[in-house]
Amino acid sequence: MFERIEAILRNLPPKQVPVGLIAKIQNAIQKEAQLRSLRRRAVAFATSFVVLAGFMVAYWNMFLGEMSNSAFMAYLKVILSDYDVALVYWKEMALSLLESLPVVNLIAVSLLVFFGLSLISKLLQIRSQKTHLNHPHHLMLSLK
Amino acid sequence: MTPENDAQLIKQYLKGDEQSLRVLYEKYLSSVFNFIYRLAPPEFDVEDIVQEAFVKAWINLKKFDQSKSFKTWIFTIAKNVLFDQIKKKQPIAFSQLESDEEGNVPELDIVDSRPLADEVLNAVDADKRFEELLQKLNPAQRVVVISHAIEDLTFSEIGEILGQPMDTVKTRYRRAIGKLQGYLNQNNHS
Repeated sequence: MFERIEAILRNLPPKQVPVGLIAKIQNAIQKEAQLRSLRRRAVAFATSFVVLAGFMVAYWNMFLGEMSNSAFMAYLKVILSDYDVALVYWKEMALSLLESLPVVNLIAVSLLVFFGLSLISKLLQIRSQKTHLNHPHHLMLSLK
Repeated sequence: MTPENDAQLIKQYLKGDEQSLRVLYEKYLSSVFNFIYRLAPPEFDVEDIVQEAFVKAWINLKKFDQSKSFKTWIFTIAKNVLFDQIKKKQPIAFSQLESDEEGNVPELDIVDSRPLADEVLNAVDADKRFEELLQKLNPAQRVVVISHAIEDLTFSEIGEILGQPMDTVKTRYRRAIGKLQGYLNQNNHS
């Protein structure tokens, strides 16, 4: 009896796999691969941003320190208080102002700000791509 | 195809041959689909579950031990995906899905030794009746019956899928077949 029941079970007709299921699975895998790649890039950019932010804070403090130690603020005060004299000797005043700037730190801070803004822009792009992949319209396309 | 071929397909895919994965998946798609189709309660989306199982297999493919059976592995993943979905929809303890105990449901515990009427076994709609009766078994018994009697997995492989000893699986299988016999006799005599 046992064997007869087993025989019937063994010969139950298999259900046909729906047409297109393998393609659906491949699309789902592709989408998962894209999401994982986006996540990895987001983590890399976010980590870089944190490191960059650390450097920015350090260089900004150094820049402020050097600015206060430099003659730049003093020259600026002179120019603003004796505007007429500054107009006459504007070339010399301009050169003195530029020479007193802590140039290296200024360039470093500018570069850090530039890279920081680029990273933020990349992170926003990644977020937008992730939203697009998870959008119901994109999901419907991947199911077809 | 032999397990060595499965390992070769996986190696080729991991080296960059995308087609190898499709070949491997197409080989097992029908078995896994039928396994889930028969195991899942009627209201569950079988395609969805099968898709999720194959995607999870892809995610963990690098961690798969290629000396083991891919078939057993993919069936384990499919079973786990289904049981997770069952738990989400019907909050029951995970142990209830994998045990023979049925709480308040009347239990046909004793193997029914009465011979089954030939008309029951030879009926034109015997297939349909058996499909319906399979759904009456609890998930733990259903998975064993489907895996061994229909999908031709050995008790050892089923034990691996369920994470249970082979003897437990064998006992459960016998009880399940006995239960099916009991259901058929009940229907026949009512």
